[in-house]
Amino acid sequence: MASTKKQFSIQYGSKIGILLFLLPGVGVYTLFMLYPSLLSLYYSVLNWQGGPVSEAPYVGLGNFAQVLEDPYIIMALGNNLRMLVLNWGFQLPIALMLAYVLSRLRRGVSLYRFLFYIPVILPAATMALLWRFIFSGNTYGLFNNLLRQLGLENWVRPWLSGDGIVQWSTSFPGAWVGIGFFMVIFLAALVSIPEEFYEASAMDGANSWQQFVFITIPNIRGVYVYSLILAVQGALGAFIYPLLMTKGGPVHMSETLISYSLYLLWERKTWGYGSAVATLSFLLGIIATALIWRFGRQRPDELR
Amino acid sequence: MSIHPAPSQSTASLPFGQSGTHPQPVARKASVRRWLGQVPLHIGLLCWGAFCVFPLIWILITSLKSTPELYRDPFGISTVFKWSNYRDAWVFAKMGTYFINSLLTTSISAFVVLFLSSTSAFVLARFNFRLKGVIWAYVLFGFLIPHSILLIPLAIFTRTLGLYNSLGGLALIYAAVGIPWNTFFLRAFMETIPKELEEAAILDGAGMWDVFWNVMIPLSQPALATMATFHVLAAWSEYILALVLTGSTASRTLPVGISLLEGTFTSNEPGVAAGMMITIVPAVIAFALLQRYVIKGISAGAIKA
Repeated sequence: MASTKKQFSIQYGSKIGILLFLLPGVGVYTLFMLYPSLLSLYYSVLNWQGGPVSEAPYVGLGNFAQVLEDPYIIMALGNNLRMLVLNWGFQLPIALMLAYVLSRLRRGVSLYRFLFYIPVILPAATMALLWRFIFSGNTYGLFNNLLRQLGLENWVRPWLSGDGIVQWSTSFPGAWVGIGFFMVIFLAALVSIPEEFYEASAMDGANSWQQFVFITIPNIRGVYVYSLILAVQGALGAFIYPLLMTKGGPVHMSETLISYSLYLLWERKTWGYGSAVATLSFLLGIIATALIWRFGRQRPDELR
Repeated sequence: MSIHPAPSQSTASLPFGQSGTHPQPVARKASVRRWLGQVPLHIGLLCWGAFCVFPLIWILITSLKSTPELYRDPFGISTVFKWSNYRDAWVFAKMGTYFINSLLTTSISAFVVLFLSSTSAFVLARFNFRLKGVIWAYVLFGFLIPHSILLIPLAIFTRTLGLYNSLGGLALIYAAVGIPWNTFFLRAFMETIPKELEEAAILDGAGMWDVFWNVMIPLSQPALATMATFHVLAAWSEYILALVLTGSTASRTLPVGISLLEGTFTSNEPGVAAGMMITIVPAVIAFALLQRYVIKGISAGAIKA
């Protein structure tokens, strides 16, 4: 077979053929994704507030120094962190729990999987509007109405305007929406664990909790580490719920790094500084990904 | 968050047609007692399912109300369905135009991304050449690039190229940002295809394009369907690129249109809800029809070798 393969690659691996096949995909990716991302890095070292970019003065890391002194950045970072806490502490555990239950279920799995996945496929802009209806302070505000009907008058709150409240109401929907996605990932990993592992441990007298800790967890470790990374990237890149529920307000209280950078770019027209804020979020994402990979023992083997 | 599934740690095995797509019920002691023991689980799961679907039902109910009815009772069902809300959203608020735009952008970009990714994936899966590893890493680097840092450069860049405010331009950019993930997945799939058929075609004198188009593409159909499904669902929902790269009613897509709806419909929340239904219904139908591809794709990504 080796000789056939060689013949194959000589006849069909002509350099020009390979180049022609690679060029469209790699070219479009370079032009519309890689090149713009490098431009963004470049903009983030300029003091650019409109006008031709060539006339914008170079300020080195000045924009990043300004980031450290911007009080809204701290608030935005705090909200990204809150989302990370929700993703890691609520979204992933719930998703794993649901997946575990489904993996033990005798019937109805595909129905539940369908229902649980629905929030994932709906347009995020629509979901953001929905959650604005839910948390609205108007007379139709669903959550407040529900609380009243349950006789919990004391719990009625201005969910979209109160400090210390609005940050949670704009963070929660994103975590909720992603649960179905991670559940499907976990479910796929869970059902791939050989049933013999469970049978053998059951014969040794292991109860279900012990099975979960000593068989389930170690066998889905790789997938869980990957989910932790996706959840970090989700938390760092989040913007649509704050943007469409509160416009990051009131007074930037519910802003995330990206929604704040959108504000800087489009409302304030500080394109250099806005790019620096977006770049900061990008760099934090890379650092977090690298750290989790390192300590999660998994390596990006396909990058060899 | 993107709805793209997690790429696995290794490209070696993709369990198409394996049990991963349909979880086998865990059969210990098949007894009635055990089945009864699962009833509380089902109740819990149904509650969670209701929590996931409730939003849809509430939006549907609200979209058929009048504004006073909504203010009086936000949960109740109206006695007379106000279908005119849909007409208001579709015609007056231009959701009809946005709908067509979304449909076009989504479908064009799906074809473009599949073509661009499968040609690269074919070469990366089948040939050895210099810099292959470098090109592979270069493409995969795209996983790390968030869309948000592309906005300003693309906003300027597309104006220079005449792609600003055009559905074709938006579709091309959707295709571009989908290339890393699609190439990754298609390459992994193509590597699992046995080489015999290609070799037979080559012996018959087929050229590189013939092999790609007549052998690889037909054999890759399961993976192409999966990727198309993910791309369609993602492009249908995409918001921020569409917001930044389109500027007129004629070229807006549904997610952007829906976010502007409250400005058009002052204190007509049922009208907004009708607009929301217009964005939701196609997504739910597409998902119901193509569900197995979504599950397959995520499962393939989740199971590491």
